Amino acid sequence: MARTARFAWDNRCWDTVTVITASASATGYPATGLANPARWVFWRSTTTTGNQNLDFDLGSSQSMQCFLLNRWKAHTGGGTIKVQAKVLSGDPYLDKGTFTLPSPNPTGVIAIWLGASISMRFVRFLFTNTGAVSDYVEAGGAFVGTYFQPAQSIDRGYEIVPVDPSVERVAIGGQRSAVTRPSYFRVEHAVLPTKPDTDRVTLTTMVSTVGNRRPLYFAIDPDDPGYFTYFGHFEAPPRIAHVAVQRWSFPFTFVEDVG
Amino acid sequence: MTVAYDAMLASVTPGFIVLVEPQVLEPLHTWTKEGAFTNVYSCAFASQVATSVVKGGLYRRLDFVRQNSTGLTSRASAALVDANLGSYFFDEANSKLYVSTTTGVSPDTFALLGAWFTLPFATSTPTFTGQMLYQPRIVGELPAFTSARPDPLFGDDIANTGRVALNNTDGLFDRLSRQWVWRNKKVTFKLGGTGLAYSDFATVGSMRINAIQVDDEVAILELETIGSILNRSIPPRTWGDGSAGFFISGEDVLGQSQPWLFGVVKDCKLPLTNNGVSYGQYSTFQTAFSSPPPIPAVVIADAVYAINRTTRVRTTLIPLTDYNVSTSSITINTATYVYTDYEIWADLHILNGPQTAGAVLQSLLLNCGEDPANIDSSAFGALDLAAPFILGVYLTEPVKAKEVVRTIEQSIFGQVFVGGDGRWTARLWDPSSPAAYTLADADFTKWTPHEDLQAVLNEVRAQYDYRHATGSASEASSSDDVTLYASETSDSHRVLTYLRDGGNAADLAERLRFLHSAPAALIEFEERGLTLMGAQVGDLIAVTRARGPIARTGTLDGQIFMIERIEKSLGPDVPTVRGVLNDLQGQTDRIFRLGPAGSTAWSAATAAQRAIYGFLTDANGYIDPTDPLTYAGKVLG
Repeated sequence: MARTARFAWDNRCWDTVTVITASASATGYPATGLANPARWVFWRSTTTTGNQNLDFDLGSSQSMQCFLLNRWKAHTGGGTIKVQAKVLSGDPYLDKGTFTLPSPNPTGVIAIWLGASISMRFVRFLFTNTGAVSDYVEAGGAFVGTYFQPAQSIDRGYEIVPVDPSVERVAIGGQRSAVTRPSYFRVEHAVLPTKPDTDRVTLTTMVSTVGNRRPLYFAIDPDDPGYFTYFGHFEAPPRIAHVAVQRWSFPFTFVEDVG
Repeated sequence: MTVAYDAMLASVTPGFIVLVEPQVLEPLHTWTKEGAFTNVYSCAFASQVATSVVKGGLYRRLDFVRQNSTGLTSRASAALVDANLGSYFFDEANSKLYVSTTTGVSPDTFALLGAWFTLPFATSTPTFTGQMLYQPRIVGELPAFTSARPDPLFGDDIANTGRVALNNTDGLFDRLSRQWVWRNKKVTFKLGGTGLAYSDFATVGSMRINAIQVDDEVAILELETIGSILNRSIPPRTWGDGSAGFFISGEDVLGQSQPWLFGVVKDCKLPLTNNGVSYGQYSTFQTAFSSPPPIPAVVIADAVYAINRTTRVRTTLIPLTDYNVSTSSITINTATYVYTDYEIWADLHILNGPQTAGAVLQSLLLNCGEDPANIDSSAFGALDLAAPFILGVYLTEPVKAKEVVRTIEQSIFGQVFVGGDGRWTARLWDPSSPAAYTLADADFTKWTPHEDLQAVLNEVRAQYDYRHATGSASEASSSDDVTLYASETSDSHRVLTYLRDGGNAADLAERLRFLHSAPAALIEFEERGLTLMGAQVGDLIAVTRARGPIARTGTLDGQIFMIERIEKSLGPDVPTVRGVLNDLQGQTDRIFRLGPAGSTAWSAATAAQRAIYGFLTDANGYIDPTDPLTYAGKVLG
């Protein structure tokens, strides 16, 4: 398990200058939907036996160190999802990583974390169809950009709380059934101690940008995105608590977005 | 309903999803003449809209295009649109709509050329393939569909109410609420669940948008009942309203309704429509409402009578000697019976037209403007087979069509309603029929008495063979002294019917009296699940409970209850079904249906068999001589 948590919150895919296209899109599921932060707006390809791709033109070269997807669906029969990138439109795409596709994947998130930041303008998510099965692929909430890894990770004592909003129906005699609703996770009692003070600056900038309204990716353990990387939002903008001279802590609650 | 839908309803962990599909109108403008074609004009029309307001926009599915009130025909290409006036082709890939008007001229010359389209919203994101993206924008408020019977046996009252609240935090509806026409447009509600295909979703109902209200957080669709086509007043035409082919000179008919006749009716007072022809011309023509098929125009007079205005003496007239007949009138050709001194009555029947209940009901629906596609004609045909007697309906005064329908329902013990598929349908109400649904203890979250004052009748009189001219009718009656003495009061009820036969009327009186001879047990219930989401008022439910209002056992072993009121609520929390059950007017343990061949005797029968099958009594009237509660036995409903 990785030692420190990471926040991916400054998404180049959502920039107004970013142009999003796809090899082919099913009617009603355009690639431009990926500019929408809502988890329930997603892209779906047409049904084919070939590869499919999602392309992001960021307008100019941008720094990036991680690539994430939520609500993903690869081709059945052994399909993969790769990230490719290039600087100039005439350049060939170069592989930057292949997602590990966990099964099961309770958080619905997959991630590629690079060791060092790179600067690219064109990014492609390539869905390969190795089994040549006639199928469609999907992607939601694509992230391209840098991440913030605090010097110190989350303190002990946080809780990952599964929330099931399903509604119980109970008969007079006690027999029960439940109207199923999508469940999600909350990360509670999370406290991020900050040292050095520069982390406080970065965290404050992040909080000011996302508040409790804009979703982001929060990886408790970046090495295990299937279980420990969430796409969601802060329940309330994290407080900045003064602990000691130039020591601050950020207690927060993180709530997973429902797709 | 599909197998997958039924399985979802039966599941103990159903993941309900409600689809909300408003069908909205956009008036189309800015037409460009397509130079490559003679009759084709085009305008921009995108499926993905509001992309500048919401990233990804909102998808809309084009349903049809209309020129004023005329629907244009969908074609597969612009060339076909050019070759067939009154057509359209939607090039979705290029967001372009090609149109040729019915006359070939520019669409701008018409008051409206508009596109009707469906918007996709849901309470939760469904995983459809081959369907548009249903956006989960429903933020809580959803309507309830309620229907009830003011009388447990006849008549439906529908009271659908509610609103739909859509998420508008991203401003999607700020402009759309004004760019499009929402008022009086239909919203369809479908119920399904996680993992179900779109085709498995069942239509729960439709309502009409009264208005759309928008604020920074939500867009509210204010909804109202679509309304019944039977609220129309019939007959629709009056004498002197400009109906073609009539010279109206009879002053006493101006402004009066042009009559409608179904079946056979005696003693119909004929309207004097032309006093300038011979000694008086009386119309027998039937004028249809606007849409086809019309009521058959030909009415035959089986006998014609002259009634002296002073003495009221009736004289049977002789054809050709006293009067001549055409397809639309009767003309008196002798001064003996001039119009100034005589009224003319006739015994009438409709030629090759609706005479039996099913046929008459269908004709009423069509002549009130209902689309034939919205009528389950096979159900009305089956009704005629089950109730084949000829009715007599002669309408000469304005009356709401639904009142006529109620009287027909009452005449034959039938029920007319809009079924789950949205089509008009009909059935004979038979309390001895097998139950459509089965419920048990575990299915009820609520089971409480429903307070309602009720009448117990010891006598019912059914009127039949109504004579229009005199306002008189024959009567058949049914009475029961047991009810009279036990109730210590006498309550009688008179029922007007369109029946013509005394035997039919006597049967009806007997059934009505029996079903009003005891107070009903009315139960307010709420379901734990949604078994009854597809049920209708009047449907029969077999109920099994450890306790119940049954004299013989104190338990419910599958006795039949009728749905008297049902409310299907789609939200705000979860879909629920609640309503009122009626124990067949207190007779549920007495009404039976025939058991299968080789049925066992009472002594060996199970509780469930005793609840619903018939059993012979002994000479003293007891099914079980040791059990006084089996006295008077079972009746065939």
